[in-house]
Amino acid sequence: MSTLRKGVAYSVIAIVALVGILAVLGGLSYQSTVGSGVSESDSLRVAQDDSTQKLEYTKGMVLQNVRFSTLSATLDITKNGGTTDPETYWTCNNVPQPVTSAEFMAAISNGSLQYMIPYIEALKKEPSLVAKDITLSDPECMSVDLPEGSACNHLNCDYFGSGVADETLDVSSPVVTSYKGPLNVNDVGPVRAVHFHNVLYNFFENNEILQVMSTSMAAECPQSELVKLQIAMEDVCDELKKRLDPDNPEYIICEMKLIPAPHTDCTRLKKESTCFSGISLQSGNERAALLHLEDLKYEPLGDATHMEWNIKMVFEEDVPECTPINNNLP
Amino acid sequence: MKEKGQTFEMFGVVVLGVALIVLLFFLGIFSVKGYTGASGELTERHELESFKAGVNSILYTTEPKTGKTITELLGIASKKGNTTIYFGPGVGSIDVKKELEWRFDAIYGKGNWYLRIPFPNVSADVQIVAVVDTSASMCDEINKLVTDVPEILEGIRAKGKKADMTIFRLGTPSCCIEENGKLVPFDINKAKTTDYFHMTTMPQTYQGLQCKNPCGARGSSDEDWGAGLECAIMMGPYKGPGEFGWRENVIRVAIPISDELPGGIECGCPSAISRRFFDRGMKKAIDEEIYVFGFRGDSCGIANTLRDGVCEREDISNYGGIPYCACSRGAVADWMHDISNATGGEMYNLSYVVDSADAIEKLIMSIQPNRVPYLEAGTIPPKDVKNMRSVTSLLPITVLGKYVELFVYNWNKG
Repeated sequence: MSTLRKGVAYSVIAIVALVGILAVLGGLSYQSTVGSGVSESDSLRVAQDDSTQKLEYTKGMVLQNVRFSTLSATLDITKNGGTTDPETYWTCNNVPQPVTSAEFMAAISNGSLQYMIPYIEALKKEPSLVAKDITLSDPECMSVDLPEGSACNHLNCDYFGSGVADETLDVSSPVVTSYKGPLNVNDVGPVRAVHFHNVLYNFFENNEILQVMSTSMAAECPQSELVKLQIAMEDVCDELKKRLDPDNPEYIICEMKLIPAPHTDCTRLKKESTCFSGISLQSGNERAALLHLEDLKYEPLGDATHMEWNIKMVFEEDVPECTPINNNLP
Repeated sequence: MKEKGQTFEMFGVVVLGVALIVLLFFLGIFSVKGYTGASGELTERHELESFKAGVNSILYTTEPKTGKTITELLGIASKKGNTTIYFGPGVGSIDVKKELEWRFDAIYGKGNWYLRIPFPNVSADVQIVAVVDTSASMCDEINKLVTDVPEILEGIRAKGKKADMTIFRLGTPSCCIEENGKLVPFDINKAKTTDYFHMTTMPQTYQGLQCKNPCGARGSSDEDWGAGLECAIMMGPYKGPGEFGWRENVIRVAIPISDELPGGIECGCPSAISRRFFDRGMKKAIDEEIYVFGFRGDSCGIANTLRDGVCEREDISNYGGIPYCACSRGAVADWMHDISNATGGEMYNLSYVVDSADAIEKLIMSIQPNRVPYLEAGTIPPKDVKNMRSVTSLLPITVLGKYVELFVYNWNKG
């Protein structure tokens, strides 16, 4: 009897142990189900990370394209004298018409877009990007953020902001992820375009350039008119060098020379004006001059890419009447 | 009864044993293996992601002197075909390779990484200065140059290659050319210049140097293409009225065009004097890294000379006992060959008049900029390396719409 009870007792222990083990197994199995759920959500997160990474990678490239496009456009625009048109006259028949900040900004914006489009077109065709299931929209507008001119000087205005106003980036795999909005940078440079524009605008706006020339010509009375003019143009350059970089005027190359007067009206049409405004011919004895400036301080795109400004003007010089040398003689 | 009890006892022990074995099997096979596998995968993934993040952080780091990101610097270097970029006196020079090296070393450790960027083939602009011997025997070649080269340059530019040329005349040719079957005096001043083709008279002196020297008393200064070459290289191509100078980042080419040794007298002059003029030109070309393409004229045959306003045809091969032909095909060819070889250029034999203009086109189209083909930094990966991780990244460059690929590799030592 005692042996039977002992056997039953063993058996009960074994069954209890078995039940316990089954419970442990059940628990483990449950955990593994939960685990696979966790693992599933984990792989979803990994896929999302992958897509986000692709998106950020593409954003980085678009931003770099923004930098190159804006810098290249800025160097073009300054060479044209502040607009997209190389025939930009800042003085027309002695009337000042300098390029305003808004026009300068619009020109950089338009110019940047012209550079940006080929970059994006090429990027869309890049096999590595296509393979990554990334698509991006064509830029339609480039925004430019120039620092306030009045706050600028020759030392603190080396960078400015730019961006694509509304860009759409789509990643279709491993999970669909998108970005829609602006992509901006604030480190386009180093280039002193805004500072130069500011100084030149002030110099032309109040006809200071003609005043400097007039004063200079008055001081050179015995000379011939052309010599006086030549000296006056050199004086303009000296004055501009001082204003553009008082600490290091040697960074500035300035040359002013006479050029053939334009045959058409030098009045500058604003960008909004129609392109068929009729032709009006230039008349009179005006002279035209080209003011050429170079800023050697920075080569923004490396090796011989320094900023140049070419500013044209049409003017009639104010030839001072010279006092006869022998006016004290009887 | 006793047997029944023993049977229960045995049954209990067997069931317990089986259950334990099943439990251990389950834990061992599924759980442990799963955990180790998952943990290995996770570690690998973690390492790859941290590697990628490290590369990205370096690429988008701002280099403090320029205020530019490393990506931007790499884009500029790729166009230049050079890892050192000059950003003007306000910034100075930046060695992009060094900037990459110290950053990668700091993150991955020395000897654990390698990167490579194959630079694209970027066609550089070509600027040419040509120094032209203006003696009568060169009349046809000069005429061909001034007539055809402007069009050739326009054609080349239409194909997307930018080139300009400035001819420095050593004198004023006094000779005749054939027009409609008749010989007429050649007036070089009527030659048309364009935005990309200019012609000017070589000054007698430049920065204290004599640019035109006769070889001895009988020589002719309008044939001194040696000293002339030195002055032309120093002056550079035409920039604007009264202004000369080379542009940056262009392929600089100088072309002496002559059928005589510098200073003239058709090899009859003491060669030491001619050689001195020649050496001046060659030294300047080597010092300034100018490619010289010697155009050797061929004075074997008829020259159309102009004497007292009258055009005459004269066989100059051995004129007046002077061996023009032997000289141009002998010593002149040798010297032209020497200067071309020493500077990485090539000598052209102008056997026919048309060759001069054709040769200009050929050299412009074939000359390649002196660029490094790629940027390479770090340590080349050892062959037996395990756990190699790699990232490929696109980088925009400063050539409109162009991209290059950056390949970065990282591995663990040991």
